[in-house]
Amino acid sequence: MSTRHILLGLLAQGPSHGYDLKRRHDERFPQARPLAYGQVYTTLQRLVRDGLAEVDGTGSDGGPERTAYRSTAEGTRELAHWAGEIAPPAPFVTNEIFAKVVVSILSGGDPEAYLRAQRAAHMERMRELTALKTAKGADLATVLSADYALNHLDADLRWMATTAARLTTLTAEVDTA
Amino acid sequence: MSDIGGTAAPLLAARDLAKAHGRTRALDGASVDLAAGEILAVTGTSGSGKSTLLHCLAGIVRPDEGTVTYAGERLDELPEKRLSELRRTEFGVVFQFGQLIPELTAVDNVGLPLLLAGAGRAEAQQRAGEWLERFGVRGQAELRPGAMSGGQAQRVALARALVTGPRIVFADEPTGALDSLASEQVMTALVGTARESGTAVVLITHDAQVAAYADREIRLTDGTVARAGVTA
Repeated sequence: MSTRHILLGLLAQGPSHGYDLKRRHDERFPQARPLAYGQVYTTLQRLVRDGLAEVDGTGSDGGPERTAYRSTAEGTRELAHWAGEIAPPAPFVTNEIFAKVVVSILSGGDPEAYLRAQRAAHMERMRELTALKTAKGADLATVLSADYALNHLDADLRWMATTAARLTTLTAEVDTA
Repeated sequence: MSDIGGTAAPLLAARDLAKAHGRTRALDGASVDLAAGEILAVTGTSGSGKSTLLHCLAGIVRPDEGTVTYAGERLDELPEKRLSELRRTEFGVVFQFGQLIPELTAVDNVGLPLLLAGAGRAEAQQRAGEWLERFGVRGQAELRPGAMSGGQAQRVALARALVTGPRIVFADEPTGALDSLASEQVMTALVGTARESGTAVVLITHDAQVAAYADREIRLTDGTVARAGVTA
């Protein structure tokens, strides 16, 4: 994920300082890893260096002094370009689950047992995400990010179900390769 | 294999169920427990025996072998009259297509089980209206099923299944004909209401995202209950 573009996106709503950007990032992307303050400030400095953001002013509001940043016209153009750019479909065949099934077959393991356990773990996580998004007062960011995770876990599950059904064939192919 | 867990006496318990349709063995030794108030998802591929299991658990069909015990009564041995009474008062059933009566409005569809149970028309209408409200379809009260969206019709069907205060709702692919958002509305309404009222739910689904609304999942493979989380 491009932190610089996400920060530019948050700045599109108006000038903001690093602490506030970090807090809004973590709220908007609840399933993502929380941003470290250091990463926020480094990214802001790079945005300024590249002419995509500039200092809006400094203030303390009775607390420590904080520098607010705003997007430049170039930053707005860059953000629009990035947001409209097609993301390459990810090569999910390199996924860890896939690798473990193949390695398990190669090493004479028990891929079916692994798939059973993995399915149970996926379902447990899907129950948690479903509870999260259907909780009273869940905000849109939480619902969207839970939906995104649920759909990807669901895709994994469908692949695992097909793989379990194919295991006999797959084992024969790997054994003879 | 079986799904026999818990220490408390289950509300519904099936043991070693077998049921054949012609030469096909739809169920082949399935065992399952359902606790009071539990929401249980039954998943599995097409033809794994999910719907047949639901029909046996709900007393709609009798198993060829095995037992189904509900609150101390052996459903597989009960006379049809008692079974039909249980289905009217203790069980609610929802299918993939709500099976609402097309000639009746939403409020009359929901009020029907109450009329059958002996309620007066005014009381039936009032309680039906309250249930439509809970499922967010009060505005459709005077519409016939043909004039509603699939999601609305399914929520009306759920209101009808719950209006008599059943202890168990059996739902067979209740979201199978719906898009993902309508499916979410139906599941949120079903699970929210079931948890509030302590109603147990047996939810048949092939959709993992729907199964994730349940407390627990069992998977059927070739008519038998696989170990927890088995991938068929």
